[in-house]
Amino acid sequence: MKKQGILAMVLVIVLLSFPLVSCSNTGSRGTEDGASTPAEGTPEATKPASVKTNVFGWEVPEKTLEITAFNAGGNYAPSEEQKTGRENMEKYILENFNVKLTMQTTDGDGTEALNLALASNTYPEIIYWMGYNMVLKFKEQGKAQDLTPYMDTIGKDIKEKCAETYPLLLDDDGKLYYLPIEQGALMELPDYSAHIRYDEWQQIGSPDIKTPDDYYNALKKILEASPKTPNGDARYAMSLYNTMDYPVNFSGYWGLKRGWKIDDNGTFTNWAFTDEGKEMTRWFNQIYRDGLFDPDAFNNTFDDWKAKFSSEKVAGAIGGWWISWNAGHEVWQTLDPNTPEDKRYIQVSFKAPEAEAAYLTGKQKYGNGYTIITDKAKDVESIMKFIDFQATEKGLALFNWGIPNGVTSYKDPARQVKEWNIDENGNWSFDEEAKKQFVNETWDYNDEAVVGNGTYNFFSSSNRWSDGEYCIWGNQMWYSENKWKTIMMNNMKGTIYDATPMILRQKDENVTLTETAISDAWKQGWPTCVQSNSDEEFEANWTALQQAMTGAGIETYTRVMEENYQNNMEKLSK
Amino acid sequence: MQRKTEKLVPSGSQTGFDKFRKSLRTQRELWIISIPIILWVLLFAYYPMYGILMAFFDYTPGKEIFQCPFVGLKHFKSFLTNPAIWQLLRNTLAMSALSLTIGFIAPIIFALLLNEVGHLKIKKLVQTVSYLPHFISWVVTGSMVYMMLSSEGILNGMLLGLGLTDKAIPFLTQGSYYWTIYIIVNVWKGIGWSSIIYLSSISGVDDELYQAGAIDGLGRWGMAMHITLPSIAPTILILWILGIGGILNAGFDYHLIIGNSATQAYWDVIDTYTYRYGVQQGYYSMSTAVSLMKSVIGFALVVLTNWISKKTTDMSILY
Repeated sequence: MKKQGILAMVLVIVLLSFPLVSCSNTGSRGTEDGASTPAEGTPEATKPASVKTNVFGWEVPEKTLEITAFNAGGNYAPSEEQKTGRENMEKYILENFNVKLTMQTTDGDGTEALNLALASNTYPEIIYWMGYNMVLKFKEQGKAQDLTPYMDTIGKDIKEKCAETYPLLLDDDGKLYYLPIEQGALMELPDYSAHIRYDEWQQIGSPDIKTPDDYYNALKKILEASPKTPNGDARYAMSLYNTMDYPVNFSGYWGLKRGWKIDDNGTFTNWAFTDEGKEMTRWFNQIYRDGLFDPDAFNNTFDDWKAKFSSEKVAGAIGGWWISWNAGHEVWQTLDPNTPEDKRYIQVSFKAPEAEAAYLTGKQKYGNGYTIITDKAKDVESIMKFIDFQATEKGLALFNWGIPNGVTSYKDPARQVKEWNIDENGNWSFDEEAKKQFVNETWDYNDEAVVGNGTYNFFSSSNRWSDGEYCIWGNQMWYSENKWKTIMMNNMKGTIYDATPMILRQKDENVTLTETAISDAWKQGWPTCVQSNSDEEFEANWTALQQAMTGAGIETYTRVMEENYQNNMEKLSK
Repeated sequence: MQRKTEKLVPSGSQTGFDKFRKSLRTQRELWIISIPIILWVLLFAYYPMYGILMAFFDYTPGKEIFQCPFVGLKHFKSFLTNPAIWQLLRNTLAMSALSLTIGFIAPIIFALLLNEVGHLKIKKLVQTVSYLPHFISWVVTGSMVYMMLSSEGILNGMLLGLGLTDKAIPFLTQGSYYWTIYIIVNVWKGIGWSSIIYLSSISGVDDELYQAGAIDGLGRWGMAMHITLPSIAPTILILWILGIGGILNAGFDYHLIIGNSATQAYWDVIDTYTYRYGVQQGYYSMSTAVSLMKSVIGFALVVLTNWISKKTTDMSILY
């Protein structure tokens, strides 16, 4: 019995020691790639004791400034080039700026991870790529630093870049608790368009495309001329993928703005309750009833859609301006460098006859994500200085064009990848070879990632720079030097508008839940309408969609949108 | 030193606490070994239960529960009065019913059939192959389903090739097919694994019963119906009772992977709704309230089913 007792005690000690050892590990939860929740920040940075300025104009601190940032964008799944780029950027910033950057990420949903981080009080000193609702949650609990005191001093470059949008970023007390990423907009660059294949369009006589029916008729003629793919598979006129925001993207061709009809008094009507929205849905239904709509359109992921598009199974597309290039000639030319130049898609626009205009791209200048400095930050001033540097032109260049002067290519170690150069006197220029590649569309976007662009953007501005030429995207400059970009800009003129006042950012729980319910209602109802087999079925499904939207609270939501619009217009007019 | 002697008490008059003390004394090594697991259960299963309180507060992540406003039954009411509740309940109960009928019976039939296989190697091979789908993740399963059933998938290819249809059947984008596909995939994935427990029970059936049955003139069918099946009835009943407790669980991963907007009206169940509204938006109070409701209903059903079972068959798992 005594031996058994001793054995039992030994077993207990062994069994207990395992969880105790693992619990005593107070490092970050998970790895820096794919962490479920972010861990606490790194030790405090000390104020710089001496000043040394690097070629970028940054005052290099004597003591290393350590910044840990949680990338709340979510679904973090970098390619090898992107991983290399991130490592390169971290090394470059440490060597040249004496700033040690560490990124924490999540491969799951970013908002979910952030909510868990908030609940467990485990987040670092910077969180970026947050949604606005999460910014508010952190702010309400005093966990986001008030940045207002810095905006006229060490944050002045940020304020200057925000320009007329700056008042919209402030809360009701005139305070600023976050910084926007990709704030502003290139007002001449379309985000959305329809697409038609240039060579096939020419083969059918280059018909004018002014209305939705013109576009569909053109696609039908293309399919009559080429009903099968080179592999003998059937072709469709149209397909979709499941991350498209259908009503917002498509109703613009029928004159609605981001799915809303807005009259002169600022009264909003949702697309599901307008004739325009119904006509838009009926147009897709017609394609379905003609048997030219991909049966798996509502099941496709973007990769499924891309595979079909690359295989020439789909003749047309409506969506982002870039999708037909990404899935079309960029694939074909990679597989076969002898692909004819005209075998590629062009962007086209059309509008319903009664529509005032095709409102396809509603630009918003708030930014596509937000950055906060949390209450865990010990040296807010130093961090603000670093972020403000990102708002200068050299900062924008470094963090958006990547490391200058050349980084070893991932694919070909003998080659150097660079978008720009800077000399020891701080004079910089865009690299001529890179410019040529962007203009000629031979730039390798995958390999570009080794320069580490876009990894640590705590602030960036999408506006064109003071010279009117440069911007943060290498492929959005020098349009006139590229035939296809020129066609796009010409065809998409008049389709872009400023939708900033329409954007609803401040949502309480009721509004968020109502918005989700409305989204559920149209996500279920719209595909049913599109897949109706007769006029009667369409009408019944349309009525059911409207009833579902009403039940979800569309009337309340519409009032919220109107009030938000009025408030924003007032702020902008000040 | 004299050992302290216990006052002897007839065992019939011992209280529960006395029995517990006695067990501590006579089985102390086993109790000592059990300490880690007891601590684990207390720490990870019971201690977090205080989080159920979130269901009665408007919990905001980052704050303590008691720092948040108390709202009573607000989240329960808002879920139950939500217009979507009927669709959610319909989908949940429909798919659960399919799981509790077809999904429940299939492994039993499979086990009975497998038991009849005489060749041991073939029996083991079939058994092993039948387990394998259980280990395939839902993500991979989703890809397989897409490959099989998409408009360009294997099944449509066969049907079109054989001239049985003139256009592809939209299995994945028509809601009316969804429940059928759901139960087929679930049975395929779970039949082998679920049959293990039945095979284990069957292996415990006394051979003499089969010999007696043979003497009485029972064939293989008769032996299966009159000996094997009644012998594993307690196992079936236990699993049935536990299954009833999970009636409001109708899948989650499967729907997120294979479902799409065109079929959402058929696959949106309580769990996916809770995930979308509660977890993704960070409204943990709502998701806690719904989960608590499900747990209470599930527990009540288990107790009720157990009581019915005890009354009718004298078999129970709880008391």
